Amino acid sequence: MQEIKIAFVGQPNVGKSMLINAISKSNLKVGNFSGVTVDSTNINFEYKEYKIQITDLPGAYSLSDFTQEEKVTKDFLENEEYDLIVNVLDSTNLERNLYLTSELLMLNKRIIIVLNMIDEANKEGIDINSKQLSKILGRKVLKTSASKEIGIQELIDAIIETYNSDLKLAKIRFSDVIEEEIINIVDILSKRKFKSKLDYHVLAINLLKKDKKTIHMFHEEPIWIELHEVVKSAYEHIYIHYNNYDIDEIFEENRVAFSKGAYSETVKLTKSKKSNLTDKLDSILIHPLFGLPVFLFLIWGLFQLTFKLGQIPMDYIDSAFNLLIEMVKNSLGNGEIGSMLGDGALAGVGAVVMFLPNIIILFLGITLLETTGYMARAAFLLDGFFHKFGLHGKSFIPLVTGFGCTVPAYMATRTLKNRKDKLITLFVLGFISCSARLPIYVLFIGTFFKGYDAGNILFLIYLSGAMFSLVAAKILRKTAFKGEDEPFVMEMPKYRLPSFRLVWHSVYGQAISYLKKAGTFILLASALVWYASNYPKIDNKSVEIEQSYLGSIGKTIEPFFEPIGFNWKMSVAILTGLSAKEVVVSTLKVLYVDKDSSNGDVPDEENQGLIKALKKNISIPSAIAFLIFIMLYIPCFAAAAVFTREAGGIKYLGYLFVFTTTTAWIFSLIAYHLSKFLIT
Amino acid sequence: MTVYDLKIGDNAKIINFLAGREFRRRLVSLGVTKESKFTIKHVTMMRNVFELEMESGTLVALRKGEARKVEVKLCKK
Ligand SMILES: Nc1nc2c(ncn2[C@@H]2O[C@H](COP(=O)(O)OP(=O)(O)OP(=O)(O)O)[C@@H](O)[C@H]2O)c(=O)[nH]1
Ligand SMILES: [Mg+2]
Repeated sequence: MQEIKIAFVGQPNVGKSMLINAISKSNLKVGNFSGVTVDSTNINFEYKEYKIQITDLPGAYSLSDFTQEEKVTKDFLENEEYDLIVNVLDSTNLERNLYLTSELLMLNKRIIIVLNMIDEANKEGIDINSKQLSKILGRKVLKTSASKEIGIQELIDAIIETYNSDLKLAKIRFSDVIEEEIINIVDILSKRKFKSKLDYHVLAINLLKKDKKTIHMFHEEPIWIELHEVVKSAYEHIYIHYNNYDIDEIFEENRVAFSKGAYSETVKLTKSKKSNLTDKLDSILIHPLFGLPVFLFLIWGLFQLTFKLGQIPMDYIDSAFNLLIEMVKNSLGNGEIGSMLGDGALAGVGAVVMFLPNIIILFLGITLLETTGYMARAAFLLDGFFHKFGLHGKSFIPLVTGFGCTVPAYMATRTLKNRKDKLITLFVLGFISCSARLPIYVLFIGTFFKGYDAGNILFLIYLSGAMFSLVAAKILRKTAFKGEDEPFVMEMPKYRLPSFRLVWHSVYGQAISYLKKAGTFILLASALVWYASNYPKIDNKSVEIEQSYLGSIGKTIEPFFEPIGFNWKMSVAILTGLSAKEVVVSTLKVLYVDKDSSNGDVPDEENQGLIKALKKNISIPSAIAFLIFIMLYIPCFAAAAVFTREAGGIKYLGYLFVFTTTTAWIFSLIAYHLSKFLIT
Repeated sequence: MTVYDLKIGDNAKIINFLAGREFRRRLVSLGVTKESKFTIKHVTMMRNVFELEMESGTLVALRKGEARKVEVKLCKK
């Protein structure tokens, strides 16, 4: 079997990932803003007698290394092995997209040009003559629509055909002056029969562009003595002609001119430009006065829904689990094993699965934010505000992702160019409450704030988490990470109605991974917590839970948590919560309910049991302090590992741990005493 | 005159970039090139961020600091 390695390259948000999904039936993340894909990902599949490997690369406006993820693309193209490039372009924005194409043509690789979003182009009356474009670029040009699955089979065929054909050479025309000098250099190279893997034409252009690698390479060659003079006079010639000493800018202008030329030769506009959906929506959504209130309202609505709708199926899930627990215990003869599985593992899993509906609604909201195009608008609205707190407007994207899960949020900081911006965002991201903390909030709100509107409290908790991260960013900016402002330049995508399938896949994927986590990790952790809270046994008899393994651990760490009003069980839950935040709920469940129900509580009302037990054993000030601690202390192990990688060193994790734990402890202390004072 | 001096609805043409190579390169690759025309579509309340609609239809947001670094000339529709 032959192996074909393909790199998908294009400007951001042109549909590279979606196109790969259409070709290979995979599920790469798709979203309607620039910078969805931040790391290269490989997709493998077989087609006829070929083994195909596609690499999805982060979108790059040009082959410079402006942001970290653009650098990923540039480095990949320059250093990795691959057979051909599929250059994806947005048909509705061809002129600008061709700028990157003009750079790719210089790489001396097999390239296929794909005009994606052809459905939108047709709707907007943009008529592209792909034959003509193919002539100008000297490459195969195809039209596709990733969302409507048009031209997918043709693309696969073209890939195989191009792979088997000879490499064609770059065919980009520069201005006469530059072309003339290219010929001069090529002449010398061919006269001296210079040996090189690269084409002379490309070498000449690289020399004129002052490409460091090429110049360095020539410095070692005897031919340089002769070449040197020619290149020098070429520079003079070009400088004088353009009245400009910046060779980069001259080449940039050449590329712009090339794209403009290719565009005007191939595109005809038949209708009066684009649809005005974007205009209409933007006149409300980023209205100078209403924009922000509308944004806040939408987020508030999301949390209302999360709580209110999520509440409905909860009781059913709960009683289903209780039934299951009874069945398991009975069939195992009510012994130790049965108890471990039932009261430990399954009870813990049930406590977590109960919150699946809340999680689904939250992720639905985040997915809509990501896929409609509103994300960039929110960043636009909030940049001024963020800027005051020393955060970059683009930090908004990781922060929003953080409401879902902190792990991809840490990865999303790669769209930030400046290292200090990135570090600040990394440090404050943990304060944004991830979805794993949602179960704890919902449980505690349901237990301790019965009379209040739960949705509002939930909104308040998430909002104050966000405020914490802003204030922390400000402090970090003023102390540890002083620095210059980075430019804020961002493309605003047009609004797109996400397809049902896209939303479904994304929400379904999240739900499945939540369930998987519950079925594996939480299951194990709950069984462990059960074991550690029931053993050791003295003379084969159960000891008081205080004397169990977990009890003695709890008692050891209790002094640290005592000032902020936690008992040892809460302290243990905080500790186990380091592994994953859902474990806090399952731990509380196993620690509180297990014992209580065996003391004669009605067993088929276990969630009620947990709420009752919590109410009985935890005072309201302690509960508030607990919520605040949960809101502020370090995310989970998985997040810590990604944080360390993104921040670039284990010492940063140390800082993060100290920073978040101290903050959490101090604010819990304040909240505990303040609420105690206010209540009594 | 720079982008910062424009109001919503103004049409203008880009004359020059008043900042270094990196800034210019970023804008050029986003389609904000010299000689290109655009309209100011939106400005946030405190005039912190500006949204430009380029002739090609691309929407680009600039913060005020960046808006001050793009020299423009007003032009008629
Ligand atoms: N109408 C239409 N929309 C499309 C098409 N292809 C992609 N989209 C939409 O365009 C947006 C961007 O798609 P992605 O696949 O995430 O784009 P990308 O090029 O991978 O983006 P980055 O990873 O940010 O560089 C999404 O909202 C898609 O739904 C298409 O052919 N037609
Ligand atoms: Mg992508």
